[in-house]
Amino acid sequence: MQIQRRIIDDFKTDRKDILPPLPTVLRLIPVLFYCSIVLVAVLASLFWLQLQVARERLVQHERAVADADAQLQRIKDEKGRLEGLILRANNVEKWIAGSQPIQPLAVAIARSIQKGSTLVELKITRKDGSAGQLQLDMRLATSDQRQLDRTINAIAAEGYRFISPQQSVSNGVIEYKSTLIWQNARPETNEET
Amino acid sequence: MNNKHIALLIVALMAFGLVQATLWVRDKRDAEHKKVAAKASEENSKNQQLQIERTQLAALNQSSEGLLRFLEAWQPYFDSVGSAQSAEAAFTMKAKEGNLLSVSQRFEQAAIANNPSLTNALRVHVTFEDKYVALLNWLGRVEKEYPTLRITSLRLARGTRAGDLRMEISMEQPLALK
Repeated sequence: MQIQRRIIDDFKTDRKDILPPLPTVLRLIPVLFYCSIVLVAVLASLFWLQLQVARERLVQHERAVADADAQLQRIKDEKGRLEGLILRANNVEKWIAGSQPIQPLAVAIARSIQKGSTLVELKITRKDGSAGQLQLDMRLATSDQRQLDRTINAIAAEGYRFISPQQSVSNGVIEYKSTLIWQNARPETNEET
Repeated sequence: MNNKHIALLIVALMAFGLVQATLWVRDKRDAEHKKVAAKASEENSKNQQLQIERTQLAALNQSSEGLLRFLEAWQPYFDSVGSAQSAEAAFTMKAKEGNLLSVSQRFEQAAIANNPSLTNALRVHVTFEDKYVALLNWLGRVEKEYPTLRITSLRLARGTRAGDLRMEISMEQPLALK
């Protein structure tokens, strides 16, 4: 059975208390609300993931810094050990440079003395504070004027250089004094005992 | 306030809480990023420092090679000396081996200044009277066998017996290498 719309409408009473439907634009509000909730949740998850990644990176960097620190410490220790050895080697070198044998010099002086000349006294002393330098004090009894030259040449042939030589003659004895520096000597030493 | 209002309030609070939590996580992430950046910068700086130190160590190794070989060569001579007593005994033995006429012999320990690696030495003062050849040969042997020995003073003069020479020597033997 068909009932005509117009007739049914006539049966309905007017419902004045019901508000008119919302405009279409305002119906989007709940949709936007749910969307924004979803978006915030997605963002929160994303930030959380980024936070975890950053924490892992921080741990990696901290580990790398700790490794670098350990390596730096090892290198510093090695440098310290090496510097200690270098200092020791320098000290040994200073000592050795001031300990060159004296016997060859004494022999050379003695062998330079010719017949008719006598070595009355020979004194060789290392200078205090500069062991590389020798103080030569020599007394020579001779009538040969060339004897002293021969002795000086013999000393020079051993590789010594003369500094501030002094010479005096008294009662036929030549007194000769000079500081000797070995030409092959390393830089000046300064140990004192 | 009806049920709908209460429901709305709860939903609004939940939404507010969610937003706050998200902001909190973002702030934490930003703070962590700053820490990572600072640490990365520190790591970079340490790596550069490490590189410099490695280069310096290599240069030091290279420059000190000769010096260290020198030390290695000389170390056994210093090690062989031992204590003052053993050095004294060794020297006395050496003097007896030379069969020289000994006039006097004196030992004392002395400190070596300005040399932190060699701090103590045995100082020996000895006087012999014998033939020229015997004396100087003995002196040469001693200097050859004890290359670390330093003769601080040598005096040669006429001896009391005819044909003899008097030799007064002062020498120092470092005792230990530190």
